[in-house]
Amino acid sequence: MKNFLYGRASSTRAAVDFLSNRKNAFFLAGGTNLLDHLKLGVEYAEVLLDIEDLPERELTDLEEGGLRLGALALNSEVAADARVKSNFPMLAEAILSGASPQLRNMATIGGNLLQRTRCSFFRDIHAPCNKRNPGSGCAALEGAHRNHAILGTSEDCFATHPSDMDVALAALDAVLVIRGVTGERRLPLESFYLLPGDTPWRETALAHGEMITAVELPPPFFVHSIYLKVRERASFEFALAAAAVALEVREGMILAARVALGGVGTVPWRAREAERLLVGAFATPEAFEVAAEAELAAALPHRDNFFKVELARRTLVRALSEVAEKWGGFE
Amino acid sequence: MDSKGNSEKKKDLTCVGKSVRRVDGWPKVLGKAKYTADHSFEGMLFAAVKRADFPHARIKSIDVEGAQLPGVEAIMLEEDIPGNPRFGALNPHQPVIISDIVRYLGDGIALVAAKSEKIAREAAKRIVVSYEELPGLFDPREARKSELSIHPEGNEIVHHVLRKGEVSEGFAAADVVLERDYQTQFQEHAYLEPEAAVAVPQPDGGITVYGSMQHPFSTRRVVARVLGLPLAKVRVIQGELGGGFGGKDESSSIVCARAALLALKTGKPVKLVNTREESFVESYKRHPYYLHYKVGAKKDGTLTAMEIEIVADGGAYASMSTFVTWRSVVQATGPYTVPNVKTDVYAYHTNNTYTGAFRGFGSPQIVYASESLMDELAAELKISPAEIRKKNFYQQGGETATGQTLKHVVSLEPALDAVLAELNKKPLEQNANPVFSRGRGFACSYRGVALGAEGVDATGAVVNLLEDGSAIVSTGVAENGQGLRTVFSQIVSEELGIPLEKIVFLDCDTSSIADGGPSVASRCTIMGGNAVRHACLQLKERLNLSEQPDLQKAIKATLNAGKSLYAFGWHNAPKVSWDEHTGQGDAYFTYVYACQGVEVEVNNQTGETKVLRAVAAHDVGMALNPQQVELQIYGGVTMGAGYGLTEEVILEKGVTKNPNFNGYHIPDSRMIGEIVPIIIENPDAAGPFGAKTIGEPTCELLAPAIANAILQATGARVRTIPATPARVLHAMQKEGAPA
Repeated sequence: MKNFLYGRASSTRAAVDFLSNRKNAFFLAGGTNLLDHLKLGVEYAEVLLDIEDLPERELTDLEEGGLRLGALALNSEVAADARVKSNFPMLAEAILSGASPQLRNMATIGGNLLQRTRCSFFRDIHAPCNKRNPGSGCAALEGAHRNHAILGTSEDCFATHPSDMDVALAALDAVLVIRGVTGERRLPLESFYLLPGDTPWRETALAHGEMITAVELPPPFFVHSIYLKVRERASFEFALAAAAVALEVREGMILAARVALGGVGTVPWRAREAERLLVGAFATPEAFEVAAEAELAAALPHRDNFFKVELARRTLVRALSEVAEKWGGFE
Repeated sequence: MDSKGNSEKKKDLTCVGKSVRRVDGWPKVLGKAKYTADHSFEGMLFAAVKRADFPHARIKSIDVEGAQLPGVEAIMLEEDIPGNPRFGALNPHQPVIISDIVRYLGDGIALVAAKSEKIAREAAKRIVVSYEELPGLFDPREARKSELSIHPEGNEIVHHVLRKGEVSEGFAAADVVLERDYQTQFQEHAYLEPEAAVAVPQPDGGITVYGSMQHPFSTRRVVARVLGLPLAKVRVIQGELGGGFGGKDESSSIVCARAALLALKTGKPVKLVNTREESFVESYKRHPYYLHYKVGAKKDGTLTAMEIEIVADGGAYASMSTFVTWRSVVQATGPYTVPNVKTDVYAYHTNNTYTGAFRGFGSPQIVYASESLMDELAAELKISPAEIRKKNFYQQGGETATGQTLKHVVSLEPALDAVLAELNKKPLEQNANPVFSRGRGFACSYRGVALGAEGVDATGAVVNLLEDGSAIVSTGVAENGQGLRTVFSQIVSEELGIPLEKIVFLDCDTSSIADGGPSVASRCTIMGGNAVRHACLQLKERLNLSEQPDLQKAIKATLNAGKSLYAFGWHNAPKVSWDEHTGQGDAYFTYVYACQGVEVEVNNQTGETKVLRAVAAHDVGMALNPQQVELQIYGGVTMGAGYGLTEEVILEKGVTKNPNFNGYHIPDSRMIGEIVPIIIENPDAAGPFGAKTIGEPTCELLAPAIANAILQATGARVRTIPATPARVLHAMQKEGAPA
């Protein structure tokens, strides 16, 4: 048996101070990912500090319709919140498309942001894995990698980021509020996630001991959006490809676009190239094809996941088309 | 769908043929039914298994030193086994635990019993095994050619042949010859209850084992063999079964034998329950098949020849591969008259998880291939899929590929017509959204009932009529959840005129009834039902009910005459035959016929496929309980949809990559729409009240029906199942279909 110390934090500050000074110590929130990893031996913990009692669970209004999600808010609470459903429907759709009701009732917003890849070699402590065991190699190159990433990959790692929620948050320009020993800082979600490069074990910009306390959503500029997820069965399954799309269309012209892809990136993939091509273009099937094609030009598939390039392209085109239709369709 | 005589006959029945409520329903829904893991005994220990770390390796040493934790009461290695450490239905080469060579990752190396499950599992983890890794074989097609041998007796488990006519002549006479390759996957039974056993040592040196199993008698055989005890000293009691689907035969024997070994060694009751991951890794799966079909036909669709070669992955141990592939060789052509047939079915060892019985038993693979093939051939000949089938269907009085003359009613055409009528009740309407394409498809099958020429097929039943007119019924076949307690109670009620409330079904206990063979092969209703009937007929004769129709008076008179009202009925199946050199013979004593059709909706952008509607017509001989037949159809169709669309155990170099339900995809309700069951009744002389079979045929047809429907929807043919989005997309791209 692997014993560990268990404690409950009474204040955010005390929690951060406590953890910063300890190795092999973790904040414990919903535990839906961490407990798995402890059981599998992917993580080793001497201390688990339960942060359930901290006050970071509220959803509070920000100026002009923005919203602040406490990091301890449950996935199911956020998805069911009336403000989220009406102002950020894409976020509710993304959350509800992930995991199972039981998991969503345990998992928190902060935990979801920190959830780790489902690469079977990362989760198998006997297999080489550069992410889990730096320098040991990547078993997925030769092995099963049908559901691995095609964007943001490196020679050392091409494990897929599994979250749905984070893809919607990427498209929504979410900003993370992070508490450390020296105080609070704000970081856009896009800068939070790190590409694997030659340091695949570094996944986020979070320093040891820092805690995500909230996620801030800027005011929604758009009326219509979608989170579209393609998978092997209709529930309790990770994405093969997903697209989060929000558009503002006036008289057929795209004035603003927010696009992110899931299931295909090593991080929640903000599709900047697609956005660049969409803004100023007319909302036509051709424009969508061009944008999707361009975004996926950088894709690097491996032996068994070539299909993902085409699948992601089509998923994105369809998501764009569906949002355009909500704006009154094509010309 | 009743034939006329049948509905007449049914009218006279009081209980049989009615959708009476399940006699075991309430305890289950109220949570009172006792599953194996619910059993608990004073001083009970918990067991854990140390498993192999490599799929193929020679064990150099086993160090149990570090596992001697406080609370550990026994650690056992192969050398500690008092009896024979190996077992197996045909080839007894499978180890209960092993000390020399591990052949797959499910192999056990050591057993631990401890005061808690936690301690037992921790101790098992601390057992250190050092190995010399051996090269492994993970593809049966490689195992076929390889110099490397997984077992001393070689990699070939079996080679079945069937030779009828002369295929070269048949192909020469054909206008069209088509060759196609198909491939199927490892499928997991995914019973909700993982394998479990509780073994309790008895004062006489014997043992009682409570287990989650489909076949208490084969479990008794294995436990007695491993413990070195006479069969009479091993009593096996079946717990309420949380699903089996063919998966709880050897998989359960091994768990029961391990618990029994530890119980005998410690003198204390021992409980062993597999985790879901252990169940995935250890228990046998449905065989993956690599199928090559060559078919010849005349322009009008008349089949002239079929040449079939099938290679099956048998995994690490022989288990029931020989039997599973035998059903394949019998049925491989599908229900079609082909004058010239040459079939070869091989099974080879690999270092993958071993494969064995799974609802359908060697038929879902060949039905998928042969029914895909029939549609491909129809397209080639530019005739309709229904027409080509009707042209070639087996007929009553006709001859099968094995040379058997079908004497009973062959209902292929009525089944097909019924499905098409229901499926095409409304014309196919495309989704207004052009992203979705809809299509319809169907598949037909025939299926041998019960064990056939696999081996002896006989079973028994006891009906114990009591003085107050109530009765206790028990049988040698076991309740797997399929509903035999209910159906057998209905038969007793019908025959003796006792209300169902006065009948108690006593579950299978190997020490109280004769070995009635396994509860497999959809044989329980037809075999066990006949045995129950025989017992009832004996009682009726003793009661002299024709002279004294008042049951209560008849009981009194019989007992007063010093006669027993305890009857044992035995049913031996009608004669079958098989020539293994030619593959000719009367393989099964009767057959069932079925057709399933489906309407699917394919997302032509992503390949995601949904079943909008499924129609299933099955000739069951006679529905003893129509509602139970429908439930079998709902379950089987869903399982067939999983086989066709989502389910696959992914094994990579012997490692199970998806050992739980998050990665192993059972289809969910959002993927499967309405299921319409159609019951066809043509009473069979061999069945009780004319009843035949329903359990297995229900799950062998939907995968090809889906593949045929996907083709109609998208123009793309998927020749490997499951038809995941990636495969459908790939097929669409290859065919240049809608994008």
